Amino acid sequence: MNGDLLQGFYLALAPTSILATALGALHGLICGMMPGLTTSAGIIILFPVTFILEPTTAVALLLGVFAGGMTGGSFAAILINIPGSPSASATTMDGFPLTQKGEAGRALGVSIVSSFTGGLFSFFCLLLIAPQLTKVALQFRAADLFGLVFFGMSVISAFAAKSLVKGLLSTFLGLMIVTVGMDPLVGTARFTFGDVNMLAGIHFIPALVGLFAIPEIVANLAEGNIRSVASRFGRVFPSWADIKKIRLPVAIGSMVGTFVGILPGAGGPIAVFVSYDYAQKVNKEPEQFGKGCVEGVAAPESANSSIAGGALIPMMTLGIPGDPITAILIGALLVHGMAPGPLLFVEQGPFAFSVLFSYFIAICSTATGAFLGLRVIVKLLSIPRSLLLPIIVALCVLGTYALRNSFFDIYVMFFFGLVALSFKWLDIPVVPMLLALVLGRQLEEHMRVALAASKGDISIFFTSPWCLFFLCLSVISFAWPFFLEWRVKKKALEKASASVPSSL
Amino acid sequence: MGLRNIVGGVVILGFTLYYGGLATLLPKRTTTDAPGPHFFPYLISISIIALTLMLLIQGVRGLKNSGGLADLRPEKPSTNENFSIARAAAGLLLTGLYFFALSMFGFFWSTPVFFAALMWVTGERRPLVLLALAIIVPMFLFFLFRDLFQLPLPRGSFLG
Repeated sequence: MNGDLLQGFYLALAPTSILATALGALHGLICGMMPGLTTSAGIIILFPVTFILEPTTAVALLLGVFAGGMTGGSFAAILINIPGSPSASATTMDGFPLTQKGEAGRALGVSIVSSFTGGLFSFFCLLLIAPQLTKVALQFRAADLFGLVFFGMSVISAFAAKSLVKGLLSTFLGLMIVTVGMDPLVGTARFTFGDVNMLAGIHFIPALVGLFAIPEIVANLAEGNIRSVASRFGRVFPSWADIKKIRLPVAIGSMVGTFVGILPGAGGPIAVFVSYDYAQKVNKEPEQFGKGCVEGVAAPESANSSIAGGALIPMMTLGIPGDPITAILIGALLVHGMAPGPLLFVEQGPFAFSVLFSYFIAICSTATGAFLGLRVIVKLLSIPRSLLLPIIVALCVLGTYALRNSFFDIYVMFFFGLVALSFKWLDIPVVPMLLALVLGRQLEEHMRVALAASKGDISIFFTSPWCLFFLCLSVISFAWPFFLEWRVKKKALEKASASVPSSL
Repeated sequence: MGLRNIVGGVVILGFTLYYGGLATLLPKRTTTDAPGPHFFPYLISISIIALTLMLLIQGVRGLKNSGGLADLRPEKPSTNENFSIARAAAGLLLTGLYFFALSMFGFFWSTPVFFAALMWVTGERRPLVLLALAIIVPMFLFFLFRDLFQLPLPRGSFLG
C-alpha cells in the first residue's frame, strides 16, 4: 500500500498531470463563476478532451474542474449577488453586502482562503479514510454489495426530492433504462427492438449530458441574454485580522462539508446552510451575519469546497457517487477502463492514489489560479449568453459523438434532455435517475449473483451482517423525511396550543 | 401540481405497462434456482406501477388546490421580466433540428447555421457580429477537435 501511495504521488506530480489539473482548475473557476453554467456542465464540456488523454491526466483535469468549480461559484455570488452554483447560495448573504460596502476584494480573498482550507481538510480526511474503508469494502460479497448499492440509491431517492414517491420513481425509471441491452449475466438481449445500437445498452454519458446540459441550456434560453457586469474590487489577499476571525467558521464549515459530502445525495446546499447557521450561533456578534461579515463568507465557502473531498471518499472506495459531479467522474473513469471501488486500490493502487493526490494539486491550483487570475477571470462574467449557449450545445455534441462515433448517442442525449425537462415540469429530481443509470447494472448483477449463490433463497439478504446493516440504513433513510415532517407538524401543533391560553 | 401529477402518472403508467408486457416475453430461467433475465424488469415494473398509483392518488388529492388547466403551464419567475418560454421552446426546437441535421450535413456545415439561428433567438441582432461569430467559432471548434485533439467529428450523409 505504501509503495502504491508513493507511486500515486509521483504520478500526480508528473508535469502533464499538474498542467492538466491547473487548466482544469482555471476552467472550473470560470464555469463555476458563470451564472447558468455549473461545475457539472464544465466537466461535460471538457469530457471529449479526456478521450485523448492518459487516465491519470484525464482524471487530474476533471478533478481540477471539480475543485475550481466549487470555488468559482462564490465569485458571482459575491460580485453580482447571483450564485454561480447552488452550493454558493449561502455566500450571497454576506458576500454581496461586503461588495456593496466596497469590500469585494476582501470578500473574495476570504472566500478563496476558506475554500482552500476546506478543500485541504477534506483531502486529509480522504487520504486517511479511503484506504481504511477500502479494506472493509474488500470483505463484501455479492449480497453485501447489493445492500451497499441499494443503500446509495435509497439515500438519493429519499433526500433528492421533496416527495419520496417522486424520488423513487426517478430511480426506478433509471433502472428501467438500464435493463435495455444485453443481460449482465447471461447475455440475453432485452428491449432492443432488433436495433444493433440498443444491444450495447444506453451509455450513461449521453444520458448524463442530456439530463444536465439540455435543461441548463433551456433555462438560460428562457432567461434571455443577460449581461452581467463585474464590480471593481481592491486588495484581495485577506489581512491577518480577517484570518484570525475566520478560523472557527472555517473549521466548522470544513467538518460539516466533509461529513455531508460523504453522505450520498445530501448535497452542497445543505452543507453550506448548516455551516452558516452553526457559524452564526457560535459567533460573538451573530447580529452581524447577513450584513456583510467575513465569517458569513468563510463558513459556507469552506463547507462548499470540503464537500468535494468528502464526496470522493464513497466514490473511490465503494464506487458510490456522492453527487452528480462524482457520478460524472465515475463515468470518466469507466471510459478509461477504471472502475472505482475497493478493487481499484488493489488492482490499480498507484492510479487510485494518484487520484487522491491530484485532488490535492487541484485545491492548490485553484487557490493559486484564483489569487493570480481573479481580475481577468471575473471579466468573463460579461460574455453574452447568446454566444455561450451555442458553444455549449456544440461541445455537448462533440463529447457525445466522440464516445462511440455514433449519431444514436446524440439522439439519446436529446431524448434524455426532454426527459429532464418533463421531470422538471413534474418536480421529479433527475439525480436519482442518474445514480440508477450509473449503478443499476451493478445492482441487478449483485442481486442475481447473490440469489444464484443461495439457490433463490432471499434470506441471504437478511443473514449477511453487512447487507442487513445497509438495508437497515436504507429503511432509516426512507423513514427520515417522514420523521422530519412529523416533528415539524408536532412543533407547529405545540406552538399553536401554547399560543391559545395567551390569546385568551 | 395535482393535475401535473395525474398527467405524469398516466403517461408513466402506460409506458410501464408496455414495458412490463415486453418483459413477459423474456426467457424465464436460464439455470436452475437462479433468476433469469425477466426477473429484474418484473421487479421494476411492479415497483413503478405501485409508485405511479401513489402519484395518481396524490394528484387526485391535490386537485382541490389546483388552478385547473393553468396548473399545466410552466412557472414563470416574477423576478426576470426578460423571461420567455417561447424563446426557450424555439431554442429547444432548433437544438433538435441541429441534432437531426448533423446526420445529414455533418458538423462542418450544420454548426454555423445553428450558431447563427440560436444567437438570433437569444437576442443577437447585429448582422455582422452574428455572421462573424457563427463562422469563426464553429470553425475554431472544428479544427481544434479534428486536428489538435484528433477526435472524430459527426460527418453527414449528404455533405461530409
